[in-house]
Amino acid sequence: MDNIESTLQDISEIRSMMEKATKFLSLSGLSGVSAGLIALAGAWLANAALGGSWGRLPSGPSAGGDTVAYLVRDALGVLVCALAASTLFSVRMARRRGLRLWGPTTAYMLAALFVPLAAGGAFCGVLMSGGSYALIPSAMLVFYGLALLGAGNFTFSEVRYLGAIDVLLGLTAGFRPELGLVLWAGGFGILHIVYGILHYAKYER
Amino acid sequence: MISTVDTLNRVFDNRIRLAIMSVLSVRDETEFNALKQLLGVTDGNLATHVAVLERHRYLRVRKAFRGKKPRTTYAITESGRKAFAEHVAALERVIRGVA
Repeated sequence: MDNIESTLQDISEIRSMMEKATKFLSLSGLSGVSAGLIALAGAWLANAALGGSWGRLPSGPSAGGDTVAYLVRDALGVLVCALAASTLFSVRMARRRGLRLWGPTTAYMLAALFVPLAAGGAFCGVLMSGGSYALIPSAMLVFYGLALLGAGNFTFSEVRYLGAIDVLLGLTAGFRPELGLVLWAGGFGILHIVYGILHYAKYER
Repeated sequence: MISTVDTLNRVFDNRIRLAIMSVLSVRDETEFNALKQLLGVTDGNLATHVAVLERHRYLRVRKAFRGKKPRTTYAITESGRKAFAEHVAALERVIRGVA
């Protein structure tokens, strides 16, 4: 019986070392919650700037230049704040778990995340140049979802569910642009918060 | 004694050596410090076990300089990969034999 016990321990050691060696494990549920709250605040500001009816985004060249500039600043602000918050909580988590924050696994994860995100950012620029503002929430959700689907291979695999749902929400937003802002708030806000809480409950309690 | 236990590799009896092989089996070149940090062991402890694995030619050591700093990296060898896979298969057999 001792034999089995120690064999099982050996196997679980092998498993855990392989996982540690290939995955970014400094992700914290609090990163998700904070990014979600920041996104909700951003969506709230955007909605206020658009007249407060959670409706269709402006489209066509007639859209007010000031409003567009404000929305771009708003979106970039959300991105910067969310990145800063996730980095902060990852640093804390790395310290707590005794992991080194920067290493090959972090680099794999970030590359998988940021390559599709950069493409998505550029594509949003394309949409803006054509005045298709109403499709921007859709594009952001789809590209972000794809980024998470890829990054999920290099961190907690549940991240991929978050990515898949974001892609679906993004496609829905493409068919129903009048729901764009609401779906954006759902995908970037609510979903992040829900994911963060589940992650926290499963891995950090 | 269960006969399958005989095929367990004695070199991997030690948990630190088992952990080193687990890491190297899923990564390319891995630096000494990265390995130390993943395993949570001291310099001396890691060096001892790495030396044992090197003597059995299960891993290969490469020493290089990055600027003025010496940089030691490790990678699994073909025979190391084979021995490790056989060991894992033997562990599975031990469990299956009793379950």
